[in-house]
Amino acid sequence: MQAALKIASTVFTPEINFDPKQDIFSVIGRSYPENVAEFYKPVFEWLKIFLNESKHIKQNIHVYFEVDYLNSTTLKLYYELAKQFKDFNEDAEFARITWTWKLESSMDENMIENIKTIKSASNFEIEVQFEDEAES
Amino acid sequence: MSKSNLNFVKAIGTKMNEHKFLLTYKGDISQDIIKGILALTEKKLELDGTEISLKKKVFNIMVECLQNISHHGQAHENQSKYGLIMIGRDQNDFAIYSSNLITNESVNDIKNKIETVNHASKDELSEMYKEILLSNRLSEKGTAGLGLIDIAKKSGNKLDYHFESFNDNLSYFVLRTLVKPSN
Repeated sequence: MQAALKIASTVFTPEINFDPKQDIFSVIGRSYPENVAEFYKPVFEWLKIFLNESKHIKQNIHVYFEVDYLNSTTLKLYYELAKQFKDFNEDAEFARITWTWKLESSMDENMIENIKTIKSASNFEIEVQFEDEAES
Repeated sequence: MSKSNLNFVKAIGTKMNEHKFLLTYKGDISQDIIKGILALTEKKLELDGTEISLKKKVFNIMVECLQNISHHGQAHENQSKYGLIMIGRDQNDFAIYSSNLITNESVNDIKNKIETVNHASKDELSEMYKEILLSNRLSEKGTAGLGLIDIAKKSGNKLDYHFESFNDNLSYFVLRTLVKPSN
């Protein structure tokens, strides 16, 4: 199995932790790097190899996002990410993808709409959780 | 040094009060400077007790404006890239002003883009946004061309703009984005 991908967070970029052994696929923090494509290039490269390998092994993938602040170009790349997951979801024999996105505020219409847009590129649900709502 | 030489300091302060600017910056726009301006923006909005979704809107518009300047702003001769950014606040209404130099050739293009978003309804803006997400590739500068649409969507108001000739090659571009609390 492919080695984990770990990228530490900075003021401009989120922490990325893709660790198949631990079943963790998380992006936590903010995302407005000057060059978005450059920052996410290793993420897409890693994912391409991983998803290709995973098609024939029984592994469900749970993606977790905690990103509240992002620039418009990042949104474009997350849309591409959802498309890659969709292709995987259609091809995979056993594995399935679930995606959770945690937001600070349930009042954040803009981010809720953004997530809906990203979801439209996929064929699965993105469950949105809110920090300001009591967790049951 | 006599007192009168420093009168301009108070005059600037008075002007800032008049226009209720809570942040102004003019000068070089580098990654480190952007980092500093954004940290200051966030702190100021936090201290002012700005409601979270309003705070996020103002912050995100600042990100888009600063990155627009950094990606598209022009430098005059061998001087550093000029940028001006200000946030004004009147009660709960915010105005974000940004200004930078652009090439004369890009004036019409920017003007058309702003006019297009200004004439679009909320739903039309969302559609335009989606279309770019679906089709456009990233430019050489790594941008998607979503910036102005994103600013317009977050603002929910018409974007005000102004162009002024600087010299034979360059023009000033001024953009004002209003952000009001949604009811």
